[in-house]
Parts: sequence; structure tokens; C-alpha cells
Amino acid sequence: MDLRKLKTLIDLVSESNVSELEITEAEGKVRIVKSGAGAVAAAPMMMAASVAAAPVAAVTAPAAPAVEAAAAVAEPAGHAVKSPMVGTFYRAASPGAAAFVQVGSQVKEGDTLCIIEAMKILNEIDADKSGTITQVLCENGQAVEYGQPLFIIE
Amino acid sequence: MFKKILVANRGEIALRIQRACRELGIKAVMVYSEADKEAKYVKLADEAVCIGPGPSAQSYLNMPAIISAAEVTDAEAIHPGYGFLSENADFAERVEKSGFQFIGPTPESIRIMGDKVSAKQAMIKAGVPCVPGSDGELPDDPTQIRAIAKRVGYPVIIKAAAAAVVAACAWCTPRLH
Repeated sequence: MDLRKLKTLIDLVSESNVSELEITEAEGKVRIVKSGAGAVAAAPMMMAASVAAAPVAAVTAPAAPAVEAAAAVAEPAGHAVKSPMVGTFYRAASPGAAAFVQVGSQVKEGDTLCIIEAMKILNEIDADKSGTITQVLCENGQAVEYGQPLFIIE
Repeated sequence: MFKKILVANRGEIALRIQRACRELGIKAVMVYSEADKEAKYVKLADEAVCIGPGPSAQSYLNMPAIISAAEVTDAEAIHPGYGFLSENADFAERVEKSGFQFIGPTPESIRIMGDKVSAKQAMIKAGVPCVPGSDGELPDDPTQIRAIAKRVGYPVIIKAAAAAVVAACAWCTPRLH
């Protein structure tokens, strides 16, 4: 189970009246127990671990702030260019071609930053702000969803 | 049996399909609009893809976004749930043309059964017993309509050709003249 899913499950338990949640999947098991006033502890377990005997890890209070810190990292300063569609992200016009932009590139509003392929159609994504590219947030060939930040322009 | 499907719906409908998939050992990809980011069916999902902003025309009814989400997540089939695109023959067709299976009737069946007139004709042709009624769309002339109603026998129900809801029916009793 990836961290993103674990985080959403922890949020789910925190917001609900559920005090304990246990999920079994092919990759393993996770048990989330709410202890005290809203604090949540997550105890990931391996497949072999027995359910009843599994100890709950003592990560009580720090769990929530840690999650918030992770969320803060995901939204850096500057202007984020967000994906207008679901598709596959490409940094260049064709395989082997030079990437449209690199970190440090100066861009003007309307410059092409990348291509997103959706249903076999290649869509050029333009800069909606002039400035310097300070971060490229997606890998070439990565699947992106609607609203996902792609670049940071400052 | 599929290994992974995409659910093109929201809320408790999506949750129900997700639950059924889990029982069958199938991975279910959820699609969601920005407004449903915090929804339970998204948080419990094996995988979730944001397909558009709040208004459903740009998200849950956005065919390219949904099919594209199936492409990037390697889903094998698309389950439309009910409502939204579930009775849309064009969507079923596009899903199949894009190389996915549509979990539901074929586009031809949706087309025939979506329209009440063609549905009834198809049923009669197949030998399914139907209640007495008009043979197709009602004529514009009220005298002719009254004649049909008299032949069928009161009370009669008048129904729209394309609506899926019972609310679109009108219950008619005879006028005295």
C-alpha cells in the first residue's frame, strides 16, 4: 500500500466516528486505531502477521503533523501550471527530441511547456504565466490527472 | 474475469461497485471531480484519478477524460454504474472503440431500448407480451388520440419516448363527452 493511500485512510478514520479500521489486501494488511482525542496511529503489518496479536505502533500524536508537513511540500511557492486533463505527460514533441523547457528556462505566457496525450491525441500545454521554470514536477511518460501541478513558474 | 476496471460514477454508486469488485478480487479505479476529492469512495479506492472540475459535464459526463483515465491506469473495462453515462449508447461505443469493454448492454441494445417506441417494437418482434397501447408515437390530432385511448381502454398512461423516470408519465382518465 502506498503512502498516499495510507494518508487518505488515516484522514478517513480521523474524520469519522470509527475508532478502528482494518484493511486486508493482496500486498498486506493495515490497521488504523484512533487513540484519545483525534490522534491516529497506523500499524502496517506484513501478510504473515496475525491480526489479533499484532501490536499497535506507538505513533500517536506526531502522525497528524507529519502528514500536514508532507502536504505542505507538495505545494511549493510560485505559480503552479496545472494539468487541464487526464493523460500521459511528455516533455518533448517526440521521443528523442529536446524537452520544451528545463528548470531555469525563461517562458512567456503561451509558450508550450509539455504535451499531454489523451485518447491518442497530443495536446500542447501552454504556460499561463511568464517567468522562470523553477521546478518540473512530472516525469516523462508519467500519467497525470486533472488539476495535477506540472511545472512551477516564478 | 477482469483484473482491473474503472468505475465511471460517484458517491454510493461508486462505493457499491468498488465493494463488489473487492469481493471478486478485481481492482477498481475510481474517477472523481475536484468537488469529490474528499469523498469516501475516493479515499477507499485502490486507485483514483481526478478527471475534471465540479460540474458533471466536465467530469462525470466527460467521455474523453474518463476513457483517458482508463488508458493511464491500464483498466480493462469501464463500469458506468447507473445515471450519468450508463444509458449513453455513444459512450458505450467509444469505450469499445478505444479498446475497453463496456460493462453493460451493447450500444445497439441501449439505442433500441432507450427509445420507448423502438423498445416496444423490438419486444413485439421478439414475441414478448406487451400491454395494449398505441403502435408508436401518438398522432397530433386529439380525436385520433381519443380513439386510440378508447380502443386501449381507460385509464391510460401517456409516457415520453425517451425519459427513464416514472415521473414523466401522466395518468389519464376519460373526459365525459
